[in-house]
Amino acid sequence: MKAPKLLKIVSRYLSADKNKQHKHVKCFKDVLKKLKKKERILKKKLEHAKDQAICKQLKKELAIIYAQRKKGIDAVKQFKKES
Amino acid sequence: MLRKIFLPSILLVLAYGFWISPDFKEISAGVAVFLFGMLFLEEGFKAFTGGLLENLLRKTTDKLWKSLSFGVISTTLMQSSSLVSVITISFLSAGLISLAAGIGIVFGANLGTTTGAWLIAGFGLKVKISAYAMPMLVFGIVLVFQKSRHLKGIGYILAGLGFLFLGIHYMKEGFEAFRSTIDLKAFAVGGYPGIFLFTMLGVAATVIMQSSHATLVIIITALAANQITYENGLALAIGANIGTTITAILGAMSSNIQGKRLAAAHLIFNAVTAFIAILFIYQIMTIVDNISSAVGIAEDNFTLKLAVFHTIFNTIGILAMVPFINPLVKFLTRLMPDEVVTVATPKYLTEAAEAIPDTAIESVRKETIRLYENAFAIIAHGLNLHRHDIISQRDIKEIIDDPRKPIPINMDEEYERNVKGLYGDIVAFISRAQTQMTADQSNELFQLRTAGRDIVEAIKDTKHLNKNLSKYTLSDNQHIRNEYNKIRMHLLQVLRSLEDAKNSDEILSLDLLKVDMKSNDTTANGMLEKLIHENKINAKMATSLMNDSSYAYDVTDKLVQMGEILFVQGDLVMKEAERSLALDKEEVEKVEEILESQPNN
Repeated sequence: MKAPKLLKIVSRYLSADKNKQHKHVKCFKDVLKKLKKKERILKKKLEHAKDQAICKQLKKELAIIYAQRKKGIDAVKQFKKES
Repeated sequence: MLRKIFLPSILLVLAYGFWISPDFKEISAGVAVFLFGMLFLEEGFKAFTGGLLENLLRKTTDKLWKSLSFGVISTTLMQSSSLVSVITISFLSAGLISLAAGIGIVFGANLGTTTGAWLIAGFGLKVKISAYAMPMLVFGIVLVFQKSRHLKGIGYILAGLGFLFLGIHYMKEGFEAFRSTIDLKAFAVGGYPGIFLFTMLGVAATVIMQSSHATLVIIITALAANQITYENGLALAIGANIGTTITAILGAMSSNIQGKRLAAAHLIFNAVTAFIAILFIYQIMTIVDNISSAVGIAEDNFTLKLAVFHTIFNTIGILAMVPFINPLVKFLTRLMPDEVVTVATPKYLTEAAEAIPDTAIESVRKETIRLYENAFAIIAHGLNLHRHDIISQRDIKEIIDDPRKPIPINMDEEYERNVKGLYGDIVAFISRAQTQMTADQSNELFQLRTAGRDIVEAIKDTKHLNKNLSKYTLSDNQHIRNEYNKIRMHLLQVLRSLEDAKNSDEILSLDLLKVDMKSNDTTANGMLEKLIHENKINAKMATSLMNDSSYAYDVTDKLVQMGEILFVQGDLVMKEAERSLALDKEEVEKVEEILESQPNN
């Protein structure tokens, strides 16, 4: 994630009170958990997929989830660093 | 009650008739086979309504003389004014032609249908038509079993004509045998009472059989067999002309107000024509005699004389009514005013909800989802897709390949009715509600307002897209048809994914649509250039496709943005967390780069 975007999320996090900050992290972690679960399911599907078109589609979905998770993990790391 | 006893009574009367007279059985079987042929013909023409007929209608009805000629020619070719009227009603309902053009076609159809009388009188009764019927049936049925839609259509038309001719043959045989047992002439009534009586009989017979052609065949065969007087035969033909409007009236029942106006115009035209014909029947008979002797029709050849009469009285009708088309349009518009547009009203935006910020936000979200649901129907129909297909599990390609008649939609009217007012109410509610909100809450409302705007813009883009899409998905050029169907396929996928996101609250799955957007864009993926380069589409098609790809891209973009705002649930922090993980343009590009660099891609 690019610095300005990350900054925007983090600054909103920093402007919130402690309680809210905690909630922020929790929400991000919840979404990340959901994504992780989805990623696992997709990986399993990919292992068993034989059709090339299906494989391609699954790879695409996995790449997207990877990008989304990376973005979330970066944000959480930054929250922790700032607080 | 009447409806319940109508069918059993008819069946009983028929059964009794069959029991007492084998000739009546033969005549009825002839009518049945004839009508069966009509069904086949209609089925055959339906195969061509997927493009050819629609294109022709659009191009050939922009002027009165064109619509009149179109009515004459199409009815001559199809040999069914009812079919032409019903198709015209469906096009009028879809807003493809104007009421005046529709009336022109129907007037023309009345003249075109007279060629049927000529065919039956001049050709049908002189030649042993059953000899033609058999090969037509055989060739037709062989073609009906073919896979190609057009071959199948030709098959149905051939078989339909075969059955028509066979039906005429049976009726002819029946009447000839009937003549020896009962003399219908004994029931003949002279003068105006007879004319009125037989006109009513003609109306009744045509209403029951729903085909003026079938009635004409009966009249002509009865005349040829000397079963009815010439005068009464003419009255029957006049009645048949009124009775034939029943099909259009039945067709208009399920159409919108424009269709109903056309059916009324049809009835008025035929009733006025009949009135003139009855009033001046003896003068018209003299004209028929003069013309007949001039063209060499024998004095006692009543069947051909009936054809002359049919043509003359319909021509008189057209001459009498054409100057009144515009007043007729005005009269019908006044008589049957446009249906009052019932505007969608808000369901969740109450005063009570306005006072509490969180409730206000949730109310706006729910109301905007309603707005989206209304828009969903408009967009789906604008793409010629049914909502139930989109939300089903049916294979997307199968849905797109399913040949269907265009879904009639007036996008402006639908927008006015189901979106505009509701959107205005949402915007007004937001401005009132945000006065007592925190920055975060105001921001959420601002986002929801943006989602509403995205919905409206997606409808507008679909409206632009709809124009060419309805044209090119019916085009004879398979390349342009394929490209437009690809656009439909892609947008169907978008609507289906949005529906999934709405129901599962998983907005992050919408990122997949963002990644697919570029590969589905005909302009960006190089497909457009390839088609132009290989001369598969012309310059006009290319420009349309380029613009419409851009509209489709925008529809996707707007709807995905809307979905990311609208379909996420939970409190504000949760919503923000989930939305902030959605990929932006640059991140999507990065994913695309990764995918391109992967092996086997």
